[in-house]
Amino acid sequence: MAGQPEIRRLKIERFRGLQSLDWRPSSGVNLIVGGGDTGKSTVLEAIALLFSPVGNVGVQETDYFDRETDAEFMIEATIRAPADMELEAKATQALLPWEWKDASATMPEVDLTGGAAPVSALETVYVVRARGTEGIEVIWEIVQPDRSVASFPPGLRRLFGIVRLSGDDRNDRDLRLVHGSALDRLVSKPNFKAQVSQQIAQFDLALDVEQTDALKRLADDLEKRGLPRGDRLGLTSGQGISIGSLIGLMAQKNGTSLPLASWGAGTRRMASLAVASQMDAKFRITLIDEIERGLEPYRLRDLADDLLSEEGQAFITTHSSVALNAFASASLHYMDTKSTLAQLERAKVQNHQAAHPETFLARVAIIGEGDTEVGFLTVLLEKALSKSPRKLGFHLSSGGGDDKMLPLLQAISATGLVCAALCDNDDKSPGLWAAVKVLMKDTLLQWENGCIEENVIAHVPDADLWDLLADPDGATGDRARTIADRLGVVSKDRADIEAACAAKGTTLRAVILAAATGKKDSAPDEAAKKAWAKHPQKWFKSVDGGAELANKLFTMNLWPNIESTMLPFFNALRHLAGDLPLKPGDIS
Amino acid sequence: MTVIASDVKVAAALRSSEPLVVIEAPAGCGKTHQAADYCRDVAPQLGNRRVLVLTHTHAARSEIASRTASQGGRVEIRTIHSFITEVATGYHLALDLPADVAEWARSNPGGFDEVARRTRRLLEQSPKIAKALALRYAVIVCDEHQDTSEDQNAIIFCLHAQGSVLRIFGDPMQIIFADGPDKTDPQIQKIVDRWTKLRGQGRAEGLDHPHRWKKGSPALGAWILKARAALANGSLVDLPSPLPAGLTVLFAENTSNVPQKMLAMSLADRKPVGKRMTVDGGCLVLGVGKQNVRNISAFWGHQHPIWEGHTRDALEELVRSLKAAGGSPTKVGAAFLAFVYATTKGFTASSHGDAYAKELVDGCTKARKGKPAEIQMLAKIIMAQPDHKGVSACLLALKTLMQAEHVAVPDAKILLVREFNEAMRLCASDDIDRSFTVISQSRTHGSHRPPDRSISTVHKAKGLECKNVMVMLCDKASFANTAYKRRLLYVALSRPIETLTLVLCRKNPTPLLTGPGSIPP
Repeated sequence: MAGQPEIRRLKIERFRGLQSLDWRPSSGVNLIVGGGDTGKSTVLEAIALLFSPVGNVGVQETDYFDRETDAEFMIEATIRAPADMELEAKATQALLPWEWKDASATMPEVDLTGGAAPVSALETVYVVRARGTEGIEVIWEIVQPDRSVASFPPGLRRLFGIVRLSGDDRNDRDLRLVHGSALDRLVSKPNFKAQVSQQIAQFDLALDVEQTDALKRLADDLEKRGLPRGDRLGLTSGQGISIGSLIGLMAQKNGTSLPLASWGAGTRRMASLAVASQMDAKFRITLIDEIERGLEPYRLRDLADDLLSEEGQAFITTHSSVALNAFASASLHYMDTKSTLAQLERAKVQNHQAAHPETFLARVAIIGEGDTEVGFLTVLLEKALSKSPRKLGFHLSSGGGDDKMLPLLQAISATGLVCAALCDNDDKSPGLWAAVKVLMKDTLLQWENGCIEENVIAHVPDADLWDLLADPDGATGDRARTIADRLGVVSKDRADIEAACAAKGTTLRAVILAAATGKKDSAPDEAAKKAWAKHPQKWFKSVDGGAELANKLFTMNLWPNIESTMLPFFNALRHLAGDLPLKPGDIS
Repeated sequence: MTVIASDVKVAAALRSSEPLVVIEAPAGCGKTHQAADYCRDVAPQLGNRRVLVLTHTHAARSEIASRTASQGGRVEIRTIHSFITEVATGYHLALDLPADVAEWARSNPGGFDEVARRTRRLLEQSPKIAKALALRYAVIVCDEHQDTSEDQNAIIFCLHAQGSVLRIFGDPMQIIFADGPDKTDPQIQKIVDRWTKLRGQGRAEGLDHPHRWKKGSPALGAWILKARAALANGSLVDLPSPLPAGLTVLFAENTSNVPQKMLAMSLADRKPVGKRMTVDGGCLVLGVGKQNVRNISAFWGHQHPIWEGHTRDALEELVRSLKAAGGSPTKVGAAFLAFVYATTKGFTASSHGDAYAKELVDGCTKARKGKPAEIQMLAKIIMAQPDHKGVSACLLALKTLMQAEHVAVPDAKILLVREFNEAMRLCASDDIDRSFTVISQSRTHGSHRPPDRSISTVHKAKGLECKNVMVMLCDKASFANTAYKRRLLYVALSRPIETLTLVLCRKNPTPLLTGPGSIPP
């Protein structure tokens, strides 16, 4: 297999809004998410500049962090180059590779003694960089292991086959013969544009007599003034506009030839990619900013499928949950407000990414362990926050159960994605939970023991226990049935159930808890086990159930009992919302 | 144009798909032509990959470069030292070397050998680094393989193992190493064995047509190849009667009482020898060893320059001694004197040096007049600045005295002019290593041809070709019957294009020559 070039590590210093970034992208598709103005697009622009196929890239003082041109900006990538790319052969001087070790380009370790020494199996990589100098120009270099540099000319940069769709409105660039554009790289030959200019210069402008006379008068006057005699109209090059930029791809629409550049944004972008895919380039690195722009979900999904099936590395930014869902098998990277870019470990977030993509696009991702917690928090957040969570950019989702919660929180808390969570405590992996707690602090609320039902029901006075059986519609039948089944009685009358409890030496509270949490150890047979496992659904194991439980906190006056446990969590969220903390008794 | 079978076979072998081709290439048989032609032909077929030609000398590098100029960057020609040094420089941290590896190698004894040893370790332990180089260089042409050290050879084979095709030229009859002590038969045999083994590993061919003598003396060329065969197989070189056109044998005796230090001849012997120097196109006189060359130079009254080639033993020794001197005026003075003895005449220990050394011991305090005052003046320069800058200044002062034909240095003359001048440039930088590097680099771009009439050691003449050559004296001391001296004789014999003059001895003849032509009339 040929293999594709790959950026293993990207370091950016002082480029545009990025003061400092050190990032290790993955193979294949890298999906970058994060809030606005964090520098996601800048990362793509940095890569585009580093591998720019043309030499005369105009940089400006705004390309320097804080517009401070006294200090250089630097974009440096550690790259793997497949052998058939022939980077080694095409470079102007011999390239000396680094070894890839501990996710960094390192110097080989050589045993200099005379004895037998192990042979290194490490991969080799090269380090390339673009520097913006104090003179506001860009210098491209290949950094040798002794930190001396070899040149990294356009011919070598072009090998990386950068295909780029920028997010701005000038995205028809690749549909015109602009120097270095995809169309240019597809059809241009040496002198092609000069030929075009020549042909246009010879074009007969068919001037009429009046026009010719006017020109002649001007020419005579110029001559009289001792100036060069100009007497005809021809093509002159303008400033800032090239002949190539005026030549674009045309298509037929209703019998009229129209530039593709005049179609809608989505079509223009898809067409640009199509032009790029036609280029005779073996190697490719794809950069797409705001991939969803102008594309309906179905076209977006098609595009995602195409990109995911390709071998090359791609860097894609998005704010779209459809894109997140469509790219669930890509690596997801989160850029935080400090412009730190970190990967969300794929295996740990993949399912959540597909099911709840908005989690990764929210200002604050709030994750309840299951539906109960989601319903529970929905009610409580309305009370605890000054605005509705949605308006604050808070997104609430279900973590999908106890086994998935820990890995998900581990992955998220390792990045800058701000996250809050409400979780059970099964007393499993306490060390790992403690590590997550260190990162999440008060935004993680894990019950000291057990689950939400246990922590709420524990506080219901004995006298009110029977009230828990009433569902929001006031019916008690379903829940009473689960109790009766567990006690082995036919009647679901309160008196019979209470009698059965006494007879069995248990309490109503214990049986309610067992039913609400689906305990099945004492089930008499397999069929009962199956049935008992489903009991929680009759109780609070649903979004509505969670909401019901939350409402009961107040209708049954249970809140004061758990307020001290929950208040730090809500105050942490209030802090993220810019609200002042609540004092005990503020929520009622 | 006649087609030479061996040329055709060699050309075909070079262009074959064999990963390793080994060509035995006697002097003058068109090796450079074959190599350059091959480079020109193969380079356009390598796509983006390149040919790397590794030579041992800058002279050979320039020669091949001029013949492959049309290929631009597709053919890279490097001395093996510079190639290895470049790789070592890239990884100097891993190799525990300073950033300027070339400077380190030059200024430390055996430095280049150590750089090669460490680079070999690197490439053997990190084959993927060798792979990166092999990806650049599809073909490596190795010139003068017999001069390749074990480590250099291993480095080339590291690249070969990663896919570089190898084309090796070598001549086991030109194993004479650099200047230095004579090599023993087993030392020579080891390299011959390496060559034999190499031939067995790939496709082996040999060049055997004496192209160099086509326009000059074809008969001489044929005789030289026969002589080579004889020297190779342990037999004697035949001097037939009549001698082939272009070959002259003269007889002469060294009549000096101190034959190691001086060359003197009877008038009868001297006349024909002296006449050879006046022939059209000049003559390169070859002697074995530095002292013999000095003696020959004196024999002609130091009228003719000594060919200094590319190496500078005395200067290298001077730099080493100065670095070890630690600013001690007496040690710096001793280094200065050793250098002056080696590069000039008429300034000896007894005539000047001992007095000079004593001045430094005494601190130049005694009042002097006349010649001792001049010697003291020179010593004071070192006294004031006991380092490389002082030495440069002192050399300049000495040169000025010599040029003015000052009475204090009546018969003094600089014999190794380039080396002396280079030493005067040591003061260019505060750092002696830096100065030495700059000097060495500028030498790289200097002339690679000796003047028409000049004198050289056989070693420094290796790789040269000259119209007329005279080898003197062909006595037992210069050309004994050892594997090493047999090769030295072959290198000497194979230098001329048109005429070769051998100056034989009646009393102590070399045991390597036989036949009627070797018998004194």
